[in-house]
Amino acid sequence: MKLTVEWMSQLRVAAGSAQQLLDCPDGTRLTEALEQALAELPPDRALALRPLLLADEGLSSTLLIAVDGVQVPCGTDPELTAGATVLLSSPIAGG
Amino acid sequence: MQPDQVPALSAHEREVYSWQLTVPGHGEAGQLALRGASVLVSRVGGLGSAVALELAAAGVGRLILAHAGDVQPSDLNRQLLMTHDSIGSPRIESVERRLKELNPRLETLCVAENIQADNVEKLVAECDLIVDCAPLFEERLLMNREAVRTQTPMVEAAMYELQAQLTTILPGMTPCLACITPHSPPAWKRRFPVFGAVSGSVGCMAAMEAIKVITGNGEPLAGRLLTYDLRDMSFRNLTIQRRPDCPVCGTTP
Ligand SMILES: [Zn+2]
Repeated sequence: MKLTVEWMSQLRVAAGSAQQLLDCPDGTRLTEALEQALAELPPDRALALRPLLLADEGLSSTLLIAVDGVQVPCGTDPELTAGATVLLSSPIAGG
Repeated sequence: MQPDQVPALSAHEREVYSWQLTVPGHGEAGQLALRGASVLVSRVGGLGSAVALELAAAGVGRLILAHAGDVQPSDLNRQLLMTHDSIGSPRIESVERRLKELNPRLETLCVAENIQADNVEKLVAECDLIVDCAPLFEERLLMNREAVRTQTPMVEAAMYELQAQLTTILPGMTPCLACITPHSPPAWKRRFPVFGAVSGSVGCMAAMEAIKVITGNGEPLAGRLLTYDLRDMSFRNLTIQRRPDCPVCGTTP
């Protein structure tokens, strides 16, 4: 199934693009899709992105993650459906 | 003051606000609500300058403004209340002068400090609403904790590069900042890439959120987070959720 990952804020700079298209097996979960996204990026991009996405306990708890416009509750790993858009943003502030 | 004791708008105020008094749902009652409101803007940099300028222009009666330090050349790409001539002078003085040039009726409480543990309680107690424009998550999370504790609405604005985010926190009803960002992210840096037009755009929208909450006119971004990218002009409204285990507003901490 096809999925779209949208990188926002620092994640976009690290990934080097706003969007990444994935072709995943049916039943892919959020963390599996993100592992696949990292695997399909050029190694230097994946190296920059990985520490922004992952903490010791798994996905970083400060990430804003939404699937088809609805925030994914922290600590959950939903199964994605065909055509889903996963938006990820690292925290940003003022200044 | 009881509503029937509030002085009506003066002839001068009616003239100054004539373009907005005719906005559907606003009118004299909305304008009196703005005049009676106290808003804390912290800090008054790229984002906060646009917020404070729009709130002063709209006729908010009192602004509590917190911002430390002196004007730097690197402020001037976005901090619209600073001037070239004020480089080296306290930022907060430039902020106050510029706002009062626009609206001499504006009352201000200007503090040459950023929000920190020893002033957050006092400054939040002075206001009816907070607009969070601070660059550091320590400050943002301190204000969030105090906003939730005192049930003070907080407009939460942020920016990065050509992107920006906005949501309005209504304590007890919507997610708080810690539901979205529970702790200071290690990778966040005080200085980051941004254009003034980006901070200005989200600052103006944050001011509009404050005006909507104060006047009850329109629907604030409650439980929604606007995220947009001016690089391709894509705007998205995300539905955001309270964390039951939120360290600040959670019901099952
Ligand atoms: Zn919360």
